[in-house]
Parts: sequence; structure tokens; C-alpha cells
Amino acid sequence: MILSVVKVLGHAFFVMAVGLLFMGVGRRFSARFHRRYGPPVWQSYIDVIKCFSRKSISHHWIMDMGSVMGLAGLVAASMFLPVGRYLPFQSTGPIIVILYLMPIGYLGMAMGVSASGNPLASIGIGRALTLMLGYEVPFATIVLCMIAAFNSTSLVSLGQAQQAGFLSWNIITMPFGFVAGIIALQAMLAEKPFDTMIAPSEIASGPMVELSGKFLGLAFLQHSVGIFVETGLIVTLFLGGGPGVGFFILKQFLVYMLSLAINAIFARYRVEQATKFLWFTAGGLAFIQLVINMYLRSGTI
Amino acid sequence: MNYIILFLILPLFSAFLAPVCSIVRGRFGKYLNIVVYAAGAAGGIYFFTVSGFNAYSVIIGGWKPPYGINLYLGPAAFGFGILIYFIAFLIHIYDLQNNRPAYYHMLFALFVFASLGMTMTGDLFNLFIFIEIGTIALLGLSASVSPGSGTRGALKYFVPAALVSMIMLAGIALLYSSLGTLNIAHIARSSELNGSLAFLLGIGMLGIFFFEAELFPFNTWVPDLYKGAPSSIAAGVAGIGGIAGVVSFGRVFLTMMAGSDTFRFARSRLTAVVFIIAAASIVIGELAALKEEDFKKVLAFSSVSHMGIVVLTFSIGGSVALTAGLFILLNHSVVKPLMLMTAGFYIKTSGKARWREMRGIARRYPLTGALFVVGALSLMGMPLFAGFWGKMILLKSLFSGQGSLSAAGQQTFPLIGAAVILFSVILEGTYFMRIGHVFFEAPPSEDIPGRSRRLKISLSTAAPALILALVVVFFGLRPGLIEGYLSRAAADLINTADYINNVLVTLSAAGGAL
Amino acid sequence: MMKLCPGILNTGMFGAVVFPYAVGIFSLIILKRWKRLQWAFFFLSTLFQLFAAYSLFRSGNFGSGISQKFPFALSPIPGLGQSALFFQFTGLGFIFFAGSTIVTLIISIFSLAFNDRDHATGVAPLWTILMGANAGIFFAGDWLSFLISWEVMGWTSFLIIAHGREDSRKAALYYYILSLIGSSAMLAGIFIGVSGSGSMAIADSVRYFSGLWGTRNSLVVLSTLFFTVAFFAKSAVFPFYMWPSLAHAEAPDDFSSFLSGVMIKYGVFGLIAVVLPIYRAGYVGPAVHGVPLYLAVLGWFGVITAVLGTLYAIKQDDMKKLMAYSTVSNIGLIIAALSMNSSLGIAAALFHTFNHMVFKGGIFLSLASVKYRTGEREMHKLGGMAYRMPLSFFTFLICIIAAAGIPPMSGFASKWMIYQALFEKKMLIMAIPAFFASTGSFLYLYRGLHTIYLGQLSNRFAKIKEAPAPMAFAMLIMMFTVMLGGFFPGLVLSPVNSIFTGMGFAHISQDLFSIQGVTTSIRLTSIGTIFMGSFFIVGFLYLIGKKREHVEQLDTYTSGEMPEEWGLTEEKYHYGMHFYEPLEVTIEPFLKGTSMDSLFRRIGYETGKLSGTVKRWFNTPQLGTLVLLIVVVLLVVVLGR
Repeated sequence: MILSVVKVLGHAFFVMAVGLLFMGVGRRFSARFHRRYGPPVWQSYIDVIKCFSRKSISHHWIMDMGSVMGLAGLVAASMFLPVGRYLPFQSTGPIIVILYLMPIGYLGMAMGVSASGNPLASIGIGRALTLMLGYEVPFATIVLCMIAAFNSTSLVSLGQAQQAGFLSWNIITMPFGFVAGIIALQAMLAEKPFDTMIAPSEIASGPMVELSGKFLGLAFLQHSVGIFVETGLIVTLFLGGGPGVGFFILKQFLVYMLSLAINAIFARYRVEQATKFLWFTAGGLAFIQLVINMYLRSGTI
Repeated sequence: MNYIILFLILPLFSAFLAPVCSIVRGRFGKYLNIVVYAAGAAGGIYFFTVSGFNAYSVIIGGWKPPYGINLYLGPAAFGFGILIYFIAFLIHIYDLQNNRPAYYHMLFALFVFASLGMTMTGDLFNLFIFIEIGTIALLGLSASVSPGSGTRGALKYFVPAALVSMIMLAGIALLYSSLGTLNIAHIARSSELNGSLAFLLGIGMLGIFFFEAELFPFNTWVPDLYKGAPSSIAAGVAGIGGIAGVVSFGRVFLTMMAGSDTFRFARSRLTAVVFIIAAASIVIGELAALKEEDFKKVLAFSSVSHMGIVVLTFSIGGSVALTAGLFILLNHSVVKPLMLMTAGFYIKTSGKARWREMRGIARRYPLTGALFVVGALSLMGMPLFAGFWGKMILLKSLFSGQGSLSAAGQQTFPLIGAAVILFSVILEGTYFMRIGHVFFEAPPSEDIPGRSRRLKISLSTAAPALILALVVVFFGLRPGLIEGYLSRAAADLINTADYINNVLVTLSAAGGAL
Repeated sequence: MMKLCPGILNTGMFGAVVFPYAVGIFSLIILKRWKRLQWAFFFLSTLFQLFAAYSLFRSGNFGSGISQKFPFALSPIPGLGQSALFFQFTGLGFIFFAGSTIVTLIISIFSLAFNDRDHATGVAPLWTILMGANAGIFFAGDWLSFLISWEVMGWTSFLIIAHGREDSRKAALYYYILSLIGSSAMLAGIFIGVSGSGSMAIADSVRYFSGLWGTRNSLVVLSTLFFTVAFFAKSAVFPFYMWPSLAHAEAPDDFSSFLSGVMIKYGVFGLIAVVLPIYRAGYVGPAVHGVPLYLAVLGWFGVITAVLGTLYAIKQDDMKKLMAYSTVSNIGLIIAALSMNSSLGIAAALFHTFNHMVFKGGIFLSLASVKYRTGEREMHKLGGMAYRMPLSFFTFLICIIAAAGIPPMSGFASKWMIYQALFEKKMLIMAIPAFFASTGSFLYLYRGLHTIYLGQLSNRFAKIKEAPAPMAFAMLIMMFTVMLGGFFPGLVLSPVNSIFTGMGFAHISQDLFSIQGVTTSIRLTSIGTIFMGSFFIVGFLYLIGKKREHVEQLDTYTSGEMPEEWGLTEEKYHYGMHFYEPLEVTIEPFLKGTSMDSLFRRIGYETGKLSGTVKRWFNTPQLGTLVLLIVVVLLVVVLGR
């Protein structure tokens, strides 16, 4: 019993730590795109500690509750993600549970910043939710592709189905799905061209406008855990998902770098453009993949 | 002496006595009428139970049928005759408050007498006479209160009435020259007529019944009469006139034409005509009521539609459908007077004729408003009220594939009929619920109807409506009580052989019962 | 005890149906002056029904067809062939009855306080009668009982929704016309079945239709189509999905809770009890992945409804209309699940039905308490209610978490099961709109939360209080029930499972804590525990941070500007209007193209024009006489041959 609590705690902190590391390396990586040097790779750890040690303001206790709930949701989601076949407790790693726990992150953050009363934050949340509706369509279709091919929504079994070497990875067998997944991932991570919810120069960084001190720290952590979970999903679904923790983190890192590379070059979509692109282009690709899977791969109609 | 003839004659006493005695005392007429109708209803019930529910054939003037006139008092005539008396009784109680001229009571008594006669008579020409008496009485009655719209209604009634009565007279004359008799039973037993002749005769004679039963296209008079005549007269037309028209129609069409061999070659065509006209009436009636603004006209159109439903059952055939039709007739004859009484009261207190302008009136008079809603729900066929059972039995018989009397429409007529009826329920629900609710809505505050004439509703106005509503609810909860009688009445109308036997052979041989 | 059981069964059903009728009529006639007392009687009547439900539950015997008679005639009516009304005790009916009674009881506690002098609506007697009809529908054994209850439910609900106001009447009439169309269609279907099977018992008609497969397919499909039209109209499925936004919104606030929670489920019950069994054993005809084609089409109608409901909800500014569309959307998902006609599908549908009853009821109660205190219904005029009415806020929050299908609340488990039901039958393309609708629900639910409860609190409402105690108590119970259903799905699923033997289905594998699906299984309790645990971890992090300082509501970041200079007030600063404007612009063409509302209004308008034409015929005597003559001549000529 104590062991499982320790495992859960350790998993949570591990995820946060790795996420922050990704963020740090990522900042250096983006800087090189822009021909800068960039901050050191451990900068994100320093930022978080700094945030937690600073004074903060809050408009209402709902704001506190919301921020806590936001991160809690994402941490809970991360508990179900098999990290290279390692899970903090017995579970099958159900995708749909993860898919539905992640919006708690949105809900909590949204609730918190709504309670702050700043309309800029609410505009940002409105856009974020619209974008969520956008990327859910291709992502859900990808999940359906997995069901059509393997008849399972368990990440553990999906990871195991791709253990037969490089060629069994879904990136090879389901290329359209992979492209759709990468596009969806871009939106999930709120990186350009889909970062209209943050939109720094437009709505003063949107939801985070009123966050300071530990609230900003929690938001940072939320972003980091989000990176971990979302890239982890793509890795498990398309890149084989294992074996071992080290390879898993390496693959996640590659995916994240790809995402940052796209982020560095693109401009920002407006929210309705983004939604349409996600529905029709990414969703369309995923749909093609679904049809292929339904009729060609599993053999049954 | 044949006491049973009193069942028919009683109103005549009142008709003669009322104008005479009103010279002495002005209000004598209405009290006399009330007593007479109550006596008539009571007497009817007594005779009915005493007779053991068999039929009477009463010979008039000592000449046996088919040479003389006879009255046929079967379950149909008795039951509906009692109902006529009952409704007339209640209408007069409702009318107690109004000061009507003496000739009003005389004419009303004549109207009741004529209606009773129509249901009971066994002779075609006698039937024609009764119809004429009723027409004339109605003309006077409808124009008695409001000269403008009442006269309009009366005229619109009179002109087509004259036309169709002439046609009927011509038909009777032709029939007499072909068959040599005018007694219904004897006609039913006669030899077959030529197809086209039978068809023409049938149309000619049925025309006036379509007119009486408010069916399309003979019903231009209905909305204007309902609107122009005082509400008690409209109630009389709806309740009493409707019963008389339908029962006599049943006698002529079902017993004489459909059940006998005489009209055999025209039977299917005649049935088709009846069906088409009835179905058209249902649709037209509901459609017209949908957007009607005048309160009494809405009720008029609803009557058209319900009469259409009742007559539709006649063309479907089979005792089950006919029982349903009679149930619906019973429901309508009880409910429509109820609603017209409510309408009359509301019109009098608010001074307005359009229902939209009476918004909120039921907040002041919630009892009448509720009674109106009860009536509307029963007409729509909603459960807990009598109309529901009629609708159920009817639909069951329509779908059970009992073919119609017409060979051509064996399968399709019931289905078309069902579709039309189901369609009519939708429309009826729409407008009745709308009106019923408007009465309960909160009015704009400056404009509460009834404020100008704060009439307190008196017992005599409310009690009849309440009694009728209770009847509706009672039969809604216990339909079995009345259903037996209705099936017997239906059998009475359909069973031609028994009718012929009773009139020409059995009872007349014994000189009539009693 | 066993000897008492049939007695209890019979009295239980009989009492559950008849007692509310009696109390309602008594309340209507005798208690006209004491309106508060009418609500107390309503509460007592519902309490009695709950007691009846409990005693029925204790007697066990789910799935048995024990019947109880209520004689309405002394001998069988020849036209109808029966002399009494039969009730039957099925597990399915019992579950619906128990669920609806529990929810209504909670609402009735709320209504006791809600209907004070300022807000009274006077609909208590009619609502009591409606509860009798409610029980009658679920316990009906023969078509007459079913029809009686169905129609009584129709007209009482019309009168309640309209409750004496003109706008409400128009909304109620729209609903009632659709309801009448449904009833008429249903009558056709019923009497086809009655004439075919020769009896008025519901089970016999179902058996008759099932036996016709292979010989008269078109007749069966036509009849089930009639039934489907009726049930779709009552449950607001496409194309009849526009009426809740009018009716639920205009109804009295506590009755909206009942409408959205209980009444809209009657169609679902009808489909499961009447239509689905016909397509079960012995089906011969086209099928998709083993699902009969008719049902597959039904499922598509369901997901289309779900999507349309979601999209319309996103557009709304009025909180009650928004929630009404949300109900439509959820019903669409339920229909999609049950059209799979499998044990997993029906279990998912029933589970989601019950969950929806509770969380939608809670949402409407919370909205009603806000409206009770503020008098406002448009969302952008509110704001910051959570700061003054925290209990209403929490109820709303918990219920929308359930509504969005987020773990650990009950909505997630049932939505997950709905997906599993679709996956089981390989209806993957159908699942895409389902996912879309489910995610979209998050958008409008959040909008409701933000615009009403969060953001800026207007000065007008700076002093309002929390809802009165009975209302608060009712909301608490709803909240608690939602949480209970989420953590322990077995509480609802075990009774559902136990009725499956009676219906001829296999059981689904579940226990108190987890559900086994087709692609995987989930353990709800552990999800809930994990979430709680994460909450504590993050809470710990929160606590080790430096203490935070409280600032005023209007004291926000404004890029160095001084908005007070422009006359800033709380209302102006609250972001409520056009929350999702970019999205609305994107979906507008789609909604315009599929709007059923304009079609129905067009039909209504044309019928009105037709009515005017017909009336004119009556008014002009010349025209009338001319037509008369023409018709007579035509008849004579045509038929005279």
C-alpha cells in the first residue's frame, strides 16, 4: 500500500521533471532556429522554483481551486500512460480515459482564470476550447483507427502489438494516421500554427494573464506534464512505445523537437482557420486511414 | 290509450300552452318547458326499462302500416330520445336567466318535437314533415335574439334547406310512383329498383340529411347560424339537431338503403358518396377551425368535423364501427352544448365575440374555463373523458379490416378514414388547446375582460354545464355502462330484417305493444 | 412474506398509478386556495410513489409479468375486447419508474421552497396527475393503459408548460402539435398490431410483429416507423429536435428540471420496450455488422441529433435554451447506443439515461435557484454568481463535469459504455460524430459555467443570498447522487444487469467498481481515487508555495490602461456575449441547411393559409351554393354510371 503511494508520487514527479527538461532543451533548440544562444537546458527548473517562491495574487478561492484542479487532472492522466511498459499501478492504459482526463486540465485552468475576472483570459479560454473541439476530431478518428486495426483501446496492448521490430510500428503501417496525429499533437500542445489560445501579442497570453507566483508555477507544470502525456500518446500509438524507459523518453524527445521545429517556422492561424484545418485536413487524413483500416486491415466489414 | 305516444307528443302540449298562458304570466313558458322536458326524459326512461329493451311499433290513427303511419321506438329512438329531452332540459335551465319572448318557447318546443319525431318515425313522408317543422322552428329561433347576424344565419339556413327539401320531396314522389309505398319498412321489403334510379333517389333523399348533419358541401349555414343564434339555440342545434339528423339518417341510409335489397344495385355507390362527403367534412371542418377568430364559429366548424366522423362510421359498416360512431355522437351531443353554454356566458360577460379578445377571462371564471377545457379534451379523444373510448373503438374497427359496405372501397376506405381521423385529431388538439389556454392567460393589465360587466355566474347558468361535464367524465371512467346500450342501438339501425319484422309483422299484428 | 408478495406487487403498481391521480384531482378541486399545500401534497404523493417503488423492489421478481387489473367496465366492451386495464411489472419499467420517482422527489423538495408568493406557478395539481400517468406508462401491460397514460401525460404537460403565459403557450403548442402527430402515428401502429394479434396486450403485439419477419417485412417496418415517429417526437430526436429549446426554456423553472430529466425519456422507454424487441430474434432482412438496417439508420439519426444539439447549444445566449439543447444532444447519444440492440448498448443507454436524469436535473435546479434570486435568464446579464451562491455553483460544477463525460463523475462511465457499444458493432464511422458531440458539450457547458457563475459580479447582485434551505438541500442530494454514480457504477448497472434475463439478453460483465467493455475495461473507482490522489499531490505543491494575496475583482491586468476612465463597470467587463463567435460563423451554413424549424414553420404557415381559403368558402353564399351544385352534379355524374 505504502509502496504504491510511493510509486504514484514518484511517477508524478518523474513526469514533471522530464517535462520540464523537455521544455528547457526545447527552448535551446528553438533559439538555435532563431540564431540565438538560448537559456541553459535546466532553465525551466529554475523558472518553476522561482515561481513558487514568489508572491502571488488571487481574486477568489475558486481561482486557487481551479489551478490545482488543472494540474491534478493532467497528473491523473499521466498515471495511466505506460512509460515504456512501466505503469505506476495495475491498469490497461485505456486511451479514452486519458482522452477524457485531459480536459480536466482545461476545465480547471479555465475555471481558475474565469474566476480572475479578466476578459482577456476568457477570450483565450474560448479559443482554447474551440481548438480542443478542433483537434478532438482527428484524434478520436485515430483512436478509431486503432480499434479497427487491433480491436483495442488499451495503450499497453497497442504498445505490445508493435514490438515486432521497426516495420511493425504504426508510423509505417498507418502513415496517414501518423500525419493526422502530428497535426493534432501540434494543436494539443498549443504550438504554432495552433497557439491562438496564448497569442501573446494579441490577448496578453490569454489564460495566463492573471497568473503569478505559484499559480504561474502550476501552469508551467501543467504545460510540462501536458507535453509528456501528449508526446507519450503519439509515441505509444505510432512509434512502438518502448522498450524500456530510456528509449521511450528518447522517442518523445524526437517528437517534441519535430513539433518545436514546426512551431519555429509557422505563423499563427486564426481560430476558425485552425478549426477548419483540423477538421477537414487532419480529420480527413485520419478518416481515410480509418476507412483503410476498416476494410483492408482487419478484413471484416 | 297508447301512453307511449306521450313520449313524442309532450312538447306539443308545451308548444300550444306557452303562448296562451304567457298572456297571463310572461315567464310561464320556460318553466313549463322545463317541467315538460324533465317529464319526457323520466317517462322515456320508465318506458324503456319497462319494455325490457325491445322495440315498440306504435300505430297512429288506427291504420296498420304500410297503409298508416307508425312510430318505431327501438333502442336507438328511445335512447337518443331520452338524450334529446335531457339536453333540452339542461338548455332551458341554462336559459332561465334570459327573458325570452313567448314565441321562443313555443318554437323551441316545436323544434324538440320535430327532432323527436325524426328519430322515431317509420314513414318517409312523415319524416319529411318533421324535418320541415324543425326547419321552420329553427328559422324563427335563430333570428329571435340578435336581428342582424341571427337573421343572416337563418337565411343561410333557409335557402339551401328549401332547395334540398324540394329535392327530397321530388325523391319521395319518385319513390312513391316506383314502389307504391312510403313506409320505411315496406320500402325495405320491396323489389329491387333499377340501379341508376336507386342511386338518384338515394342522393335526393340523403341530401337533406347531409344538410341536417352539417356535412360538406351542404353546410354553409353552420358557422353563421351558430354565431347569430343565441347560444342556447346553437346548443340545441348541435345537441338535439345533430342527434335527430344522424339517427334519422341512420334509419334511412342503413336500414332502408344499405340493409335492404331494394337499393342493392346502388348500394356501393351510395356508400361511396357518404364516405367521400363525410371524409371531406372532417378535413374541411378542422382546417376551417384552425384559423377562425370568432369563438362560436370555431365550435361550429368543430361540429362539422365531428358529424363527419359519425357519418363516416356509417359508411364503414359493421356494428362495431357503428357503435363507435354512436358513442362519438353521444359525446358530441353532450359536449358541444356544454361548450356553447360556456361560450354564451363568456360572450355575455366580456362583450366580445372573438376568443383572442377574451384572454384571461377564465381567471375570473375558472369553473367555466375548466369545463371548457374538459369539453375540448373529450372532443379530442383524450383519456379520462368519454370521447377517448369512442375514438378507440372506432380506430380498432377501422384497422381490423372489416370491409366497408362498398365493394370498391373494401380495403381502402377504412384506411383512408383512419388517416383522416388521425389527421383531424392533430388539428383539433391544436386549436382547442390554444383557445382553452388563452382563456387562462394573464391579460394585459388594463384590459381585463369582464371588468366592465361583472357578472356573477349564477347557479342556473353553471349547473347545466357542470352536469354535462360530469356526464362526460363519468362515461370516461366507466364506458362499459353505456356501451351496451349503444351496441343495441347500433344493431337496431343496422338490422333491417328485424326492423321489417317488428314493423310489418309482429307488432302491428298485435296492434302495437301496450 | 412470500404470500404477501403478489399482494404487494399488485398494490404497489396499482397504488403507484392511481394514488397520484386521486391526489392531483383532490388538490385541483379542493385545495384551490392553498397553493403551498398543493405543493406539499405533490411531495407526499411522490413520496408515496417512492415507497411503492421500494416495496416493489423488495418483492423482487424482475422480469415477471405479474399483472394487476383496474376494471373500467362490467363486461368486455365488444369493440375493444377487454373490460379492465392491465398493468405488468417488468424490470425495464421498474427501473424507469424508480429513477424518475427518485429524481422527481428531489425536485419536489426544491419546489416546496421555489413556489413562494413571487414565483408560484400553480401547476402542482396537474404535475401530480402527471406523475400518475408517468407510472402508468412504465407499468402498462395493454395498449389501453399505455395510451391513457401517454395522452394524459400529453395534455397535462401542455397545460403545465404553458402555465398561463402567452410565450409559454406558443412554445407549449409547438411541443404539443409534435406530440399529437406522434400520438396519431402511434395509434396507427398500435391498431395494426392489435388487429393482427387479436389482443390488446402489448406483448402480444410485439410477438405478432416479430413473427412477421420474412413474410410481410414492409408491414413491420411501416408499423415500427409509426412507433418510431411517436417516440422520436416525444424524445426530441432529429427531425423533431427543435421543441425542447422552446418548451424546456419557457416552462416553469422547476418543471424544466422534470421535463429535461424525466419526460424526455419516455420515447427512449418506448423504443426499448416496443421497437427493439421486434428487431431481435427472428429478424430477416438487410443488416449492417449484424445490426438490422432500420436500427442502424436509427443510430445515425441519433448521432445526427447529438451533433445538431451540441452545435445549437454552442450558439445560445439563454441558459435554459442551452441546457435544453444539451438534453437533445444527450438523447441523441442514448439513441445511438440503444440502436445497437445488444446488452452492452441497452445497458449503456439505460445507464446514461439515469445519469442524465440526475445531472440534468441538478443543472436545471441550479439554474432555477439563480433565476429565483436574480430574475434573469440571459447569461450575459449574470456573472459571478459563484461568489455569492457557492452551493449552486458547486452543484452546477459537479453536474457539468458529469455532463461533459469527464471522470470521475458518472457521465464518463456511461459515455464510455456508449462508445464501447458502438465499437462492439463496428460502427466506427458513427462514433466520429459521437465523439464530436461529446467534446462539443464541453464548450457550451463551460460557457454556462463562466458566464453565469464566474467572471465579474455585477453590482446589482452584490447582495444576493444563497438559495433557501430546501432548495439547497435538494441540490446537495443531486450532487451526491452524481458523485455516487461516478465512483460506483455498479449501483446502477447491477439492477440494469438483473433485468436482462427477463429481456432475453446476456449479462454485461461489471461489478461495483468496474465495467468490462469490448476494447478494454475500466475500473471507475480507481480512476476516481487516482484523481483524488493527484488532487492531493498538487495541493501539496500549492501549499509549499509562498502565500498568496487577495485582490479585488476589478483589479486586473489591463496593459497599463486605466479602464475606469472609460466608465468601466462590472457588467461591461464581464465577457459573456458571442463567446464562441468564430465557431458560430463556421458552423452557421451547416445549421441553416439542416434546420427543421423553418420547415415545420413553413408547414404550419401553409396550413394556416389553407384554413383561410376554406373558411372563405363558408362566408360567401354564392360561392357556397355554386360549389354545392357542382359537387352534387359531379357525384351524380361520376358515380351514377
